[in-house]
Amino acid sequence: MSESASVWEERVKQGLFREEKFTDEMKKTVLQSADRRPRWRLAKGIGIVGALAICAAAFLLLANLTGGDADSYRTAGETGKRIPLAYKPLEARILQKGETIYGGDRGILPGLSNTHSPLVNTGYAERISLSDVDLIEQKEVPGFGTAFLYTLKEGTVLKDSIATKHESFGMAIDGVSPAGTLYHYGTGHMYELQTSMTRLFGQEVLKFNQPLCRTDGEGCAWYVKKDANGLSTYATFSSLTYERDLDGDGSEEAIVVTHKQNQIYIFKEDRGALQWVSVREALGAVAEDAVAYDELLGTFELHGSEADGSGFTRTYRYGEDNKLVEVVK
Amino acid sequence: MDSQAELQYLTRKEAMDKTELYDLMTAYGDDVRRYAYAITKNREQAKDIAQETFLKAYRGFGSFKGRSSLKTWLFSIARNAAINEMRSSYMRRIVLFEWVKPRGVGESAETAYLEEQSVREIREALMSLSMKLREVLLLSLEHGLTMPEIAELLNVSEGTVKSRMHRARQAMERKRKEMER
Repeated sequence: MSESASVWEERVKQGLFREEKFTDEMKKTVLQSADRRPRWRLAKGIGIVGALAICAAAFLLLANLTGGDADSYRTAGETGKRIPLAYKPLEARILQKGETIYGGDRGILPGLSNTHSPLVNTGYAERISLSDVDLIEQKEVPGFGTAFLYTLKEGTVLKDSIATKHESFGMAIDGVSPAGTLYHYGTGHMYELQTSMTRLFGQEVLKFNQPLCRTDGEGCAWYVKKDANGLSTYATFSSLTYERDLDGDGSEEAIVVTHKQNQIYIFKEDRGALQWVSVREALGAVAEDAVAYDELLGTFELHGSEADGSGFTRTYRYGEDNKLVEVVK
Repeated sequence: MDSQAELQYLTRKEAMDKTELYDLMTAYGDDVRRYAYAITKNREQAKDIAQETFLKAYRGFGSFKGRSSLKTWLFSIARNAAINEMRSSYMRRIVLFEWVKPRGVGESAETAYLEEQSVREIREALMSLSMKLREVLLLSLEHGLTMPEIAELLNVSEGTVKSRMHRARQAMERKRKEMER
């Protein structure tokens, strides 16, 4: 065995993942769940679906209290119905490097607060030296690199932006960043963001998600990607988003859920251009109806009321040839 | 006698109570979580799988015949759970981390970063191996399982385990050399 082999083997024996602990909190969860059956495993998913269901229920309650028009109940969604989705090209400008977004800019689609195309072209993050920062915290992002939270040291000069004393965020990318450097992504404390590795439009990306970040009640999601040139923003959405390969073509669509106007949009990407469709529109939902996306199952739901006042929920899966297919239970 | 050895008396029991479940988690919890992480390469999944493993062990303890060690049995439950999870068509969004409030400002980022570099490189090299190679290496080196135990856990022959170990070591050597360039 070579000397280097003995070094790495010894390190592996000592444990490479010592931070992976079975915590007291985890023990408590197991003990509490031990006598309950079964559904424990789905707790997180149920939380998400439950939240959507609660939104839908609240929407219906509001509709009932304010009095719905019986004649407006539509007939879309008969048992087993297949609803074609007509994708349209997104007509929106792509944000360029140095361009400013103004408060008065209009949203690109009803209910969606994006003022430009979700795809952006703002260039690469500036590479700076680690010696230029005072580190607050760092996190490993397996498969991507290391995320850093820091402040810039006094006197640091940036080429692409103005150096501030505020907390900033950056990353060193595995196999790309020269030793002792990071890509300075920007200013922001990032404390309430959820960070995950995912895939969008066929790209491996790092996603930052903030369920509530806008004064209009919408969430924010942005996706960054790495390549040989560094770190760049790939896409941003001013809303909650989910990624899933709905049509099975190997490229993950963005499912975009807005609070405003209760919209669900599906975005596809094709050679740098986006196409979109409104699920709400496709399902023929009227004002009193609510639409929801079940992240766990990848299905879409239409919640509404029959003419006699009784409620219904219709569930649709994404079928072949870009159709929503009603799930017959 | 360590806590894992103390629990071997469980191999003669038909069921376990919650105190024994707690002891089992204390003794093997970290190992199970780390093993699940080595398979899935995903912290949140590994956490869920580790918890699920102990729930299944508690509920299905009657099926434990004592033919293998408790650790190997728990690893086999974790492995099945992990593989099922990865096979699932639905891949949940996994939250890697959320920043928590600052611990304080002023540390030398460069020093802290470089100190971890070596371990990071070994981890990266190891986690970039295929699951088959990564698994035997960690089961043997980190978890101390014997060749027969690994063979039983993976449901392959000892010869296959030895072959995978050999290839895993070669691959690690190669990757380490590439990183040193």
